[in-house]
Amino acid sequence: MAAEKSSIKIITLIAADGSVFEVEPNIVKEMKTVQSYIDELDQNTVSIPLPNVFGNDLAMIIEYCKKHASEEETKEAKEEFDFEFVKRMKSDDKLRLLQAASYLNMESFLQFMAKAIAAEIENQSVEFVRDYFQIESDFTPEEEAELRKENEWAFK
Amino acid sequence: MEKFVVTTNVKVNNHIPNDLVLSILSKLPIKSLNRFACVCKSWTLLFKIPHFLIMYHNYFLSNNHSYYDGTSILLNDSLVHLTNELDEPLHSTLYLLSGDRLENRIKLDWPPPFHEDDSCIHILSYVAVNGTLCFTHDIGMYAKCVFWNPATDKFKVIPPNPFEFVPYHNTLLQPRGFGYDHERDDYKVIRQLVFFVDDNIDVPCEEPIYFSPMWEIYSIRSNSWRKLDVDMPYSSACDELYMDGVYHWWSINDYSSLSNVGPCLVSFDLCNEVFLTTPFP
Repeated sequence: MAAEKSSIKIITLIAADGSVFEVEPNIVKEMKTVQSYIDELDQNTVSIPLPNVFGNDLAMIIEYCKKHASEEETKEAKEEFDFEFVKRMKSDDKLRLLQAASYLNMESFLQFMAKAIAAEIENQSVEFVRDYFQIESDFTPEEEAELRKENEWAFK
Repeated sequence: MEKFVVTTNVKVNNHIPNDLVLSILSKLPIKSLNRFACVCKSWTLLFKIPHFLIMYHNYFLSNNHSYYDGTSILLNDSLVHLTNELDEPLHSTLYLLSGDRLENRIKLDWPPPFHEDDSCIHILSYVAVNGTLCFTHDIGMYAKCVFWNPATDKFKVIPPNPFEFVPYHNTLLQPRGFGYDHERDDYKVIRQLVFFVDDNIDVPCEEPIYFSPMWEIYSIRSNSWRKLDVDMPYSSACDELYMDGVYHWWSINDYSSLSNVGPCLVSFDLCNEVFLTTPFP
């Protein structure tokens, strides 16, 4: 390789399903897991496997990063993008992307997804939330009835 | 170049690790969190997890762009008799108003220390700090001071100070401000004690001893009162405001301060426990 050290031009990310994404270094800055890997290498091309992230999800994350790394985009345009970005997702997508954000150690994207999920469940029932997070109730019916009575105002 | 084996059999399932769940829950309004306490046992204990409390607190502060988004208002309806027909007890009633047009009205119960006497209850500083309110009786020689978090329904009665009791004197307790010391993660209350010679008792000395009014501060961390070595002007007027750790009030006609600064705005910093005055323009 003829290029100088530490001047990586293209980073290749390989998703769990084998799909390959080529991105510029500024796109992965937000992905601390990837970035720390790059920092340790003395190569000008890098290929990084991400066995915990699926291709579809990675595509979305890269799309998000591109938009947010862009200096030309206005704050309003980014907000508009965020809104549409969440709107087209199903519940499962959000949960998977949240986990991907955690795995890639992307703090602001993680907070963004957590907020999107919070907004989705905010006005939902207890049953909905159990189903959403696949949580089994560990209360006896009596305990639950008692607790519901205590927090009655929150059910109105 | 190195070769990587790409594993394709890793299944991303829907089971969300606990720290991510906390990160989601920390972005919910208090009403949702109370409802979701019924989801499972560990979710009833959220407010006992210090890590969660910090997350919740930080998110709340960083996103509180508008004071009116999803906000609810506490309405304290204190009945005041203008005539002297005092046979009827005076009651204060607390309502929670919520909704875009504040159309939802729920009557809240006072915390237990006020069940016997709910007359003239005052919300100190007119503010909830991280969800906690401080109630006092507006009048009375031994004004009760109680912290209460309406969301968790936890309360704490602030203990009295031995200083309150001076022989042959009646002590007027004037709770002034309530606020939060973010440096020490502490909740504080300031009040002034004014001592009057008790006329109903024979004082066994010719000249009654005069005790000058005294300021003191309560901290929930130490759970005790401590004398404040300041000579702050006091005002019984209701023009007061608590903001970002500083409690402000108008002092218009203060008779108890020795410094006699005249009408001014007094600002007390609950972190550093110092005050400053700004004269009227």
